[in-house]
Amino acid sequence: MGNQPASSSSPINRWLEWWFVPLPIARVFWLRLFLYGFVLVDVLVTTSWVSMHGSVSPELYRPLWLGRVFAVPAPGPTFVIGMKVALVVFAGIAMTGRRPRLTGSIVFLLYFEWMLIAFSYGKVNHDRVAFLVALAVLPTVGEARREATLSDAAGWAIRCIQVAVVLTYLLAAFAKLRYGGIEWLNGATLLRAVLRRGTWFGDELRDFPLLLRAGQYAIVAFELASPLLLSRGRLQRIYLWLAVAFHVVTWLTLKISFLPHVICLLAFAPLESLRAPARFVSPKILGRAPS
Amino acid sequence: MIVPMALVAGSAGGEDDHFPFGPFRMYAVTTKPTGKTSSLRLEGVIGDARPKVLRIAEVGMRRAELQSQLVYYGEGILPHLASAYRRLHPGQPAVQELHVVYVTYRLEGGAAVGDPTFRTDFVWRRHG
Repeated sequence: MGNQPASSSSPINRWLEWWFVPLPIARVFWLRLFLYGFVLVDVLVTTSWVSMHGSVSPELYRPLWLGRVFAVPAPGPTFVIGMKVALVVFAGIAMTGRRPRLTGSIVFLLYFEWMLIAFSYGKVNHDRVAFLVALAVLPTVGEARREATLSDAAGWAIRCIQVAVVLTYLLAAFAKLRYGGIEWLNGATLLRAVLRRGTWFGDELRDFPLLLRAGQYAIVAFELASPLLLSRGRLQRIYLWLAVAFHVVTWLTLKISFLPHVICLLAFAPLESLRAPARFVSPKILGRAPS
Repeated sequence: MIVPMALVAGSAGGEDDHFPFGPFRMYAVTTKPTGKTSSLRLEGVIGDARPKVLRIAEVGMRRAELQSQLVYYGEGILPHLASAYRRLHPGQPAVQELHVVYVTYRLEGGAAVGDPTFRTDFVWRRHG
């Protein structure tokens, strides 16, 4: 942990310096609070449907590749409830920053298994990759207090989350080309989505095919421009707000929130400048963080 | 570096099965601006009530999962859905009938025209 002086400017060194750029350890403190907090929200609210799979006939269980490799059996109702309780308990402990390597690793493994249960019934969501990367790398930082210290371990973990976010957008654009082809841009892509799962707001757009088609171009342009998130300064901030706006509009029109991915956008925000909401965060948590 | 490389490789040649390294294919498919597009819905008779549109979550699945399972198992999935409904709604009347209905919209120039049509592909009825 600590600052590494900038030394050689060889490409390999610059590459390593970029990955291990010292960043405020306080950002990891806040990321843990928000991301482990989100695990609670996700398990209890936004993906509470995963628990329903415990009530579905085992015959409908079609384990994913990793599920087959580890011979994960079809989950029954008791197993699913046990997983849910364990996730809530360990995410709650991880939020406090206690034994971060151990509790964080347990949350990662439990959440990964939760996802295998979620996606082994015929449909895989792709809004989880950055979140899974975040859960995998946050424990590596070790103790993280709400202080101004710079840490290259924090820098590496934050960079990993940032790169996973950018790759999610870029590879989503690539998938459109792979599965939809160029017709994705000129076809009735968004109209199809609105007809299937449009909200009242989305339904209003049915009669505006040109606007929907323009939206298709805008989405691909937005995704291809995502490396701007890795730039510094105004362009990054503009893209970040654009990303938030994009996800809000997607939710308003199609009820698709990509929430686990959205929460990872926090890795780009200067969370270290946040003040502790003393009334809402337990003094025990704050006690671990000298202000 | 292994994870980014696996993600890129999965996007280029992988499938959903390779989660978390599969392609990011949510909303990656499209429909021609002039033609048809369909949406699935599930209707059911619960107890002695009149037929109604069921939320697919009431049988323990999501819409896309049901679509995928129908491709895989065909109508053989319907008794499983009825069983899941019973497990998720203990003490309530059982499902007596399930209908898989496709709502089809006609598209012209990227806009939906006319009223949708409804086609029932699969029906399951409880015996006895």
